[in-house]
Amino acid sequence: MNRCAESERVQSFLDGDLAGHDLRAFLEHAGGCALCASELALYRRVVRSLETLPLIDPGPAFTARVLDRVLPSRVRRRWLRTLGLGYASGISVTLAGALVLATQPAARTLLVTLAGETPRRIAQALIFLLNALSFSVLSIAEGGRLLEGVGQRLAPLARAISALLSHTSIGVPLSVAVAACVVLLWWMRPREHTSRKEIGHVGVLGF
Amino acid sequence: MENGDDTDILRRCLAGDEKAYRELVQRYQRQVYSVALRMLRRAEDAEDVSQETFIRVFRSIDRYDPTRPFAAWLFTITSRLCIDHIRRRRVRPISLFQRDPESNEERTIEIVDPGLKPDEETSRIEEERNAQELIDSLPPHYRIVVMLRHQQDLSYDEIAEALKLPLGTVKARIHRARALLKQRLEERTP
Repeated sequence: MNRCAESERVQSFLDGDLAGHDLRAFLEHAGGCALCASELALYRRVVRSLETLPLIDPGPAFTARVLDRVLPSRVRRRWLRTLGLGYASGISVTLAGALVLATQPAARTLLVTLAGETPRRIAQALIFLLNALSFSVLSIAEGGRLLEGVGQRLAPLARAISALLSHTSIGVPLSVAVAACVVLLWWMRPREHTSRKEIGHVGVLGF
Repeated sequence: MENGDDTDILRRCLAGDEKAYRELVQRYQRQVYSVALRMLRRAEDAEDVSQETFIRVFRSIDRYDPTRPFAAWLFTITSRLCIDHIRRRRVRPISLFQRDPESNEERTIEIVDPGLKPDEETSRIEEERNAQELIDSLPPHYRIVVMLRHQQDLSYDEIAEALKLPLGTVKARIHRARALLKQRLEERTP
């Protein structure tokens, strides 16, 4: 198809980029040039076609699906529901298992043995841990006189504690008490209060 | 798309107002979904990308600069996700007008406007089909600029900001895309 040199300006005209003298000159030219007039008509058809495309609705449930994934309250609720279901399932399985075990004579004997053996094993593990820690401290302290002195002073204390813990009746309640203290301290830790002006928590909870 | 209203909704979103989250999604879901569907041509992919767009908006809303148009920011995310999706999956060119394998007839998945008479409706569907076929014939980097310019009514500056492209590149792409569309229209015209 033949083209007019002025047709280069058709798109600029459509975009409203021509002004003043340029605009007047183009309009004057297009009024008398069949090629430019045809070009302009075709471009107008293109633009009109593009603008006829309607917006498409993703459906009424779309908003809910997005909000389910981003709103902190909904995310929390979903996590709580999952946690609750997991907890209930866990308890059910444990209870069922315990019932089955309780009906078996061999299992009862095993449980009695385990009940007697477990505290002793725990105490032994704790003593081992304490000894290992004392040994490590002393080994490190060998590099420096100050630490060595501190280690030697602490060694009798560690031995005394080890001896004390070797008694099941003392070791187990003490271990339980220490564990309870640790849990309590963890629960009482200072929590960061996020400002309501920020919603960074969405990222933490949701993703 | 009034920026004033957007600013108010965004301010409420930042304050944790859950109702504002809903308003923002409802206000922009059609625009985002339309761009995604016309870019990706598959409803499931468009839904995924649209959801991901809003999730990213909410996740980083505290970093949004309110002096800039919200729509440009929103379409930055949408277009990047669409282009990533196209690159990742090499989307096949499936038209919105699908062929029924049994009857061999083409069906549209466009929504029907109940306000039109049957003959107007047929003509409208035909126009949409033609427009969609024209859009489908463009490469993705032309398609996105044309969509943002002529369907979302974004200015050249906003498109440049949304796509992080120089203004001159955006203009050149739109001009080139329209020239291609015109050429295809000429070829179809008897």
